[in-house]
Amino acid sequence: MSSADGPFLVELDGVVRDYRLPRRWLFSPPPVLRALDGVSLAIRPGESVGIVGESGSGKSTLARIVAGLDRPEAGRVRRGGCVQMVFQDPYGSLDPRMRVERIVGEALFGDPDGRARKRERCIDALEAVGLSADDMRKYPHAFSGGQRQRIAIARALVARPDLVIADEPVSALDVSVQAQVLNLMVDLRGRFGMAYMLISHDLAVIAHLCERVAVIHGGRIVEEGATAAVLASPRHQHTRALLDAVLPPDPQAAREKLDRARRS
Amino acid sequence: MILFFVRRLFTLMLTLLAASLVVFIVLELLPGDPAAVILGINAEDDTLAALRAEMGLDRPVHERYLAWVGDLLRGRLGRSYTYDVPVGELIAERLPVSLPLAVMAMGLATLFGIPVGAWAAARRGTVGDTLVMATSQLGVAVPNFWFAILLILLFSVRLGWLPAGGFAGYDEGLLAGLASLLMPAFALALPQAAILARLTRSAVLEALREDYVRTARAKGLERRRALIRHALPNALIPVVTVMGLQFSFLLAGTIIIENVFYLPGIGRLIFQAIAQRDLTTLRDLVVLLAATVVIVNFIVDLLYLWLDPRLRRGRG
Repeated sequence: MSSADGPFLVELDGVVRDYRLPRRWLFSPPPVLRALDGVSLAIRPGESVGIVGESGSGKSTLARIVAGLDRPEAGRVRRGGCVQMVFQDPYGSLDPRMRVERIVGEALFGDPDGRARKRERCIDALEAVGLSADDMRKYPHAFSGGQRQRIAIARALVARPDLVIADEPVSALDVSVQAQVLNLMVDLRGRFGMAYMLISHDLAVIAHLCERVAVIHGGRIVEEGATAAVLASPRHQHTRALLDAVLPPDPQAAREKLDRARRS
Repeated sequence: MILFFVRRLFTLMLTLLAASLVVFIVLELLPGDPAAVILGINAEDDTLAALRAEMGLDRPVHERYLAWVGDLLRGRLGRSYTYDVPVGELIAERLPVSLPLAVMAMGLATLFGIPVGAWAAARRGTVGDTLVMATSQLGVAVPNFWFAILLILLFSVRLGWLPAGGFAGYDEGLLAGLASLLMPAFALALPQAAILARLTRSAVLEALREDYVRTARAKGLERRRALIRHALPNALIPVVTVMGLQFSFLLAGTIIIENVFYLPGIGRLIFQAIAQRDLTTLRDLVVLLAATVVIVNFIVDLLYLWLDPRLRRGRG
C-alpha cells in the first residue's frame, strides 16, 4: 500500500515536548515533565500507523504535536498534507450549541467552494459514515455515542484529509459499537485512501487497523515495526508487558490453562 | 414547547400570588397606622375611626387582602395616601426615568463587561489580563455613589459637559432627557460591568477547556475564532443568569444613585413611600417589582432555550 521511500506525509525528527507542572513553592522553579523525549516518526501516504502505550506515556501529546495543536520544544515536524483529528470522547468533542451541519461544515470555513457545494460535501461526508442528509439539522444530543463518533469522523473527512489522527477513537464507546466504528474506519480508508495515525492502549484495536505499530513508553518510542511482527515476537520488555495485559477472549480457557500450568 | 410556556406561566402566577401575600402580611405587621400618619398625632379618636372606615381599614384582614388582589388582577392600582393621586399615575411619571436608566446601565455593563471578560480570557496570565482583572476588582469594590460623585466632579464641575443632577424630562427632545441619565447610568454600570467581566472571563476559561474547543482548533480554526464561535456562546449561560438578576436590581435598587443625582425614579418613590407609611403605594409598587423580576426571569429562561439547544427537548 505504501511505497518504501516515497515522500512522507508527516515526518517527526527528535521531537521534545515538556509540560510545566504547578510549582511546589512560590519561588521554586516549576517542575518539568518531559512528555516526549526525542521522538522520530514518519508516516507515508495511505499508511496506517498505530501508536500504543500506557496512560501517561505521551501518546496523546504525540497526536497533538502531529495535528499542530501543540508545538514541540525541540525537534522538527514536517507535514505534507491536510491533517484532521478524531477525538476520544464523542460527548464532549462536539459543540452542543451547533447543528451537525455547522459542526461538519465548519472545517470548510477557509475553503474556496461555494455554499451549495460545501453543503453537498457535508452530505457526502455524512453519508460516507452511514448517516443521512436529514441528520444535518439535528443537534449532537440527538445522537448516540457511536453516531456521534461517526459525526466526528465525518467532520474530519469533509476536509479531504491526507492523514486522520484518531486518539482512542473507540475507547469511550460501548463494546458492541466499537467494532462498527473500527470497520467504518477500515472501509473509509479503502474508499478515500487516507493515512491513519491511530492512538490506542488496546493492541486488538491497533491490530485490526494498522500495518505498522510504534510502542511508546516514557516519552520515547521503544519499539517500532510491522504490526504482525511486533505482536508475534516483541523485543522490548515493555511491549511484552502490554501484550500480557490484554484480557483473554475466553476467561474459562485461560483459567484452565493457568491451572494446568500450576499442576505441572 | 407550548406545554413549557403554560407550565411557566402557571408558576409565574403562583409566584406573584405568594409575593402579594408576603407583602401584604409584612406591611400589616409593620407598626404605624396610616390614618394616624395622615391626620397627625393630635387627631381625635372618632376622626381617626371615620378615616379608617373610609379607607376600609376597619374591615377584616382577609377581606382587605382579597379586595386588593382583586383590584390588582383587574389592573386597578390603589390611591396614594400622601400624594392623593392614583399609584398608577405616580409610576407612570417615574418609569420614564427608571426604565431608560436601567436599560442604559445594563447596556453599558454588557457592552463593556462581556468583551472585556472574553478578551482577558483569551490573554489569560498576561499583563493585560492581570491589569484588567485588577481594575474590575476595583470596580466591584468601589461604592457606586462615590464613583458617581467623582463623575459629577469631573464632567459637571470641571468640564461642565453634563448636568450634575436632576432630570430634564423629554420636552426638549429624547436626547436631552437621556443626557441627564448618562452619568447615573455609568455609575450604575461600573460594578455591574466589573462583575460581568469577571464572570465572563472565568466562564470562557472553563469553556476553553472543553473538548469541542479542541475539536474546533483541530478543524483548523484559529484560537480567536474558536473562542468567539465555540467558547463564548457556551459560556454565556451563567452570564445571562446574572444579567437577569442585575436588570431586576437596576429597576428598583437604584435608590442611592437616584438620590445622588436627584432623579425622580422608582427607587426614590419606594423610599419615600416607606418613610411616609404610604402603604397603598408601597404594596402596589413592591408587587409590581416582584412581577418584573419574575418576568425578567421568564425572559432569561427563554434565552437559555435559545443559547442551549439541549434544553429545548424534554422540558416541553
